[in-house]
Parts: sequence; C-alpha cells; structure tokens
Amino acid sequence: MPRDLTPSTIENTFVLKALTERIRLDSRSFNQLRDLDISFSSTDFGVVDVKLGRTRVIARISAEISQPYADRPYDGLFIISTEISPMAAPTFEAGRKSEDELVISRIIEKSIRRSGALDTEALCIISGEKCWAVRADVHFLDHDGGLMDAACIAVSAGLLHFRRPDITIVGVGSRREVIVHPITERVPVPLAVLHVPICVTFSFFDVRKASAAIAGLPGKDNMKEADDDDVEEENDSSTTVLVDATLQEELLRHGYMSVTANTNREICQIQKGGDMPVEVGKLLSCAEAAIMVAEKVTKLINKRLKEDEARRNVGNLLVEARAENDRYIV
Amino acid sequence: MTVLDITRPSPASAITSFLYRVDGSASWKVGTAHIIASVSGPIEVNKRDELPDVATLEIVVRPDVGVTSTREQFLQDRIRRVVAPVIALELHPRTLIQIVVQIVQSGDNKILNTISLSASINATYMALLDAGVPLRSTVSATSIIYYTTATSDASKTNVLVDPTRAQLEQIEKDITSVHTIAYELKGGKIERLLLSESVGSFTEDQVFECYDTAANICEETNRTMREAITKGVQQKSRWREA
Repeated sequence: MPRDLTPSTIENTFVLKALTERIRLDSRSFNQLRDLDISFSSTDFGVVDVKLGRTRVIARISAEISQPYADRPYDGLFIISTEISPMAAPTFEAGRKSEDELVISRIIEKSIRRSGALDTEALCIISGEKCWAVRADVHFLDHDGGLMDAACIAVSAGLLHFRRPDITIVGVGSRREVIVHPITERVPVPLAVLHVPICVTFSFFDVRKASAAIAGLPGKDNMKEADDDDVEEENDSSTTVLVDATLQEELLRHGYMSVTANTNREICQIQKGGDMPVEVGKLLSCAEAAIMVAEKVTKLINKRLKEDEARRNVGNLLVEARAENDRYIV
Repeated sequence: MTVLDITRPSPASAITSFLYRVDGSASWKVGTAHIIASVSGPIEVNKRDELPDVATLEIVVRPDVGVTSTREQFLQDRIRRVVAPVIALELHPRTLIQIVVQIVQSGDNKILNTISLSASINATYMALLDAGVPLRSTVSATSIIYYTTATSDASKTNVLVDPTRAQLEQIEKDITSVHTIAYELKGGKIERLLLSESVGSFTEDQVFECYDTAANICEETNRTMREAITKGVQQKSRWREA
C-alpha cells in the first residue's frame, strides 16, 4: 500500500534551516558516513548482512551451472536482482517496480556488472556448453536512505566471501562430463573478483532555495558564513553537499550524485540526478571523496573477511588445503 | 514396529523489534534456517482491496535465492491458513495488515519446504506480536521428518525434528515422510491443531505419533518465544527505570 513518505513542512524547514547553520540532525559532519557494519554468515558462503546506520541490506550470492549465451560462449552469467519488498518501507509495493527501484537497479548494474568486478570469463567451464551462472540477490530489510550504497557494499563483499564448488572435467570431446565436488569433498573455490566497487551518494542542497523556504519564519537568525572544511574547495556557499544521506535528507535534497569507485582510484560509474545544477569543481571533489570512502570501506570489508576466515578456519585446515598463491587486495 | 530415534538440534533463537520502518519485526533462527518477518498494520489499504467488515491480510514471501516462484506462493498460502484465524481481523475493518516474510537462509534442500514453512510461521507470529496486532492465541510450528536407515537386521525409522541442512543432506535419500505441524496454544499448553501438512508415505500411527511429538516441541518453542518477547519488552521499557 503506497503510504506517502513526504515529510511535513515543519520537518522540511527544520532540516533545511539546520543545514544553513551547518548542522545535520544526527550531528554528523557533512562528509561523514554513518556507522557501517558488515557481517557474514557463519554457516553459508556468500551471505552478507550490511548495516549502514539504520539502513539494512542482505545480499546472497549463489551459483549454479547453466548454458552460456550463444553470442558469448566464453563468458559465464552474472545476474543481480534488487527487488524491494514492503519490508524496507510500506511505500514499496510487492511486485511493482517503483522509480527508486529502477534507479537503484540501474546503478548497481553499472557499478558491479558493467564495470567488470566479476570476471565472467573465469566462470566458463566448457565453452559454448556449460558455464557458471552467478546470482546476487539483494534483500532490502530497512530503508533509511543510501539503499544503493548499502547494496553495492553488500554485493561486493558477498562476491569476495562466496565460494563455489570445485569442478573437474572428465572425458574428451562430446563425451565430456563435469563433476561437481560437494563442499564436504573438496575445498570450494573463490570467485575471480577483479576489483571491489563501492558506491557513495552525495546529496546536494541549494542553500538559496533552502533560505527561501525558511524565510518568513518568526525570529530567524542571521545565517552564518559557510566555513569550508568540507567538500567545497571554492568559497561557494550556495551548494551544500552531504555524504550518505538518511531517508529524511534524501527526501528533502534538491539533487544527488552517485559515484562508484574502487581502491585503484578508478571511477566505475557516475550518475547525477535531480534537477539542480552543480559546479564541475564540486563534482570533481565529490569524486575524490568517493575514492577515499572506497578505500576505507574496502579496508573494512577485508578486515571482516579475515575475521570470518579465522572463525571458520579453526586449526588452519583450509589454509593447508589451498594450493593457490596468496591474493592481495589492498 | 518402528524404533523411534528422535534427535533434536539446538533450540531456536529469536530477536524482535530490529527494523525501523515497519511496526513489528522478528528474526527466527532454527538449525540452518534463518527467516525474517515484518508486519505493518493496521495501515491504509487500497480502495480495491478494502473489505467492509474485516482487515485485509496481505502476505508476501520472498525467497533467499532466485526469483519468486510457486514455492513462495505455497508458503504464502499455508502461512495465511495458520495466521488468518488467529488475528482478530474484525477489530480493524477497512485497513490492511501487511506481512512480509523474507527467507534469508531456507534450511531446506531443493525439494522440501517444511523447514521454511515452520520457521516462517514462527517468525510471522512473533512479528505480529511485536507489531501489537490483536491476536486470539499463541501459535507455534515445527517440522518433523521420518527417514529409514537400513541396519543389518531390520530397517529402523528415525525421526528428526527441525533438522539442519547438513543433517538433511545426510539422510536425503532415505526420507520417507515430511510433516509440518502448527498448533494453537493457550497458557503455554496445546489447544488446537492449526496446520498439518504431510508429504510422503507414512502410516496412520506415524501421523498421530507426529502430533504428539510436535505437541511437546511446540510447547518448548512457545517457551522460547516467551523469553524472546520478555527480553524485547524489557528492552523497550528500559526508559521506565531511568
């Protein structure tokens, strides 16, 4: 049932006035991310639970053997599903794609699939006949803004955590057979993840529009001069940039830009929405900030992955069983 | 003569009130299954779904992996059969009670649905409690699986209650019947049978045996639910002591 999420006028003016005074309602600084928590399932591979403030997302990575596309015989399949259920917020209808959902799925597609985070060639088993079909299902449990940021982190972490069953090809020519070894028989194999894309969303507020909204309020103060310790390099106080907006901030913003970056200082995708023009310099400093966030988040993902491996790996048996060289993702 | 060997894994654990956008939420973990249920209601309903004398009940089941299929439709139907008679729908006419069940880890193998079903019923019930939806009684459900093991002399029939996936995989080929049972409880004691879903080949004696076993398990599950709810309420009321 579509319940209207639009905040009341009082909320609106309160949040915007606070912004003109350089205050965010949860007292974060303008370029501070909310508390990020990443946890992995102790029983299954590829189950990630990401909490970004109050936003909560679970990603499930799974793989099964399938046939490759006829025009791409050497590539495996990789599908990402980002259906939002009414659990995230009652405004989402089951079975119907809202506009937000379309934006989120497009950004996740561009960030993870099109940027080649997962090497699909490594998923090929027998060219033209059999390949791995990897599936990433994102479940949105709680919507407090930043759904695509949380989803991107969850899928990236999931791809790193997931282990697919090991396979052997026996026989030759047309009588080839693929033997899938159960996890109890052979140590499962990680996916070929080429880079770890992390999405960061910047929300833009036009201070002049905000001031106009609160003009006429009884007893308004003199607005303080913007002091620049944040993303804005130029002393331009007409655009306020917030990193990682909560739902309330998202509903009130005048524009936004989602940047996906990785630790190789590559920008995987940029999407700018809303109808607010923003100076190029500001956008470039946002991209720079996104790279720093990507580094921090990737470090956290790797830390959690190591902790999870230590928990599973009591006695170091899995380490002994591995024949591959160590991989380093800095 | 069946020789019963009932093995029961570690008991279930539940958490409530962890989602902010819905009225009630619950997470139910048993064996390797993990189900999260959310309840919003009574909330505004679409004009076309509105019922004049009772609340409309919408149940959405989302799979852990893959697209929604007939399996989710089946789970949705069975959950509705258990839960609809227990909710006092006539107290909130022309409104909507929206239940979303998200299967995080199903605990079943590819063919069975029993563990997802019993865990979903338990999670849904706890979420309804957390949301404060008016309910007539307590509900709890369990899964019972009969399987044979061929020993040197005779074949023994064993019973597994709420098994983990590893246990399921071990006995997969020897499963003879699968039973999902849900009871209504009042005052911590079994009152009425709400659901009896049995698949496979089994004798009449086995079914009645099932009902007895399930009765004990459901009473234990009810105690687990009670503890979780008590903890949740204490957490929510901590401002009183301050």
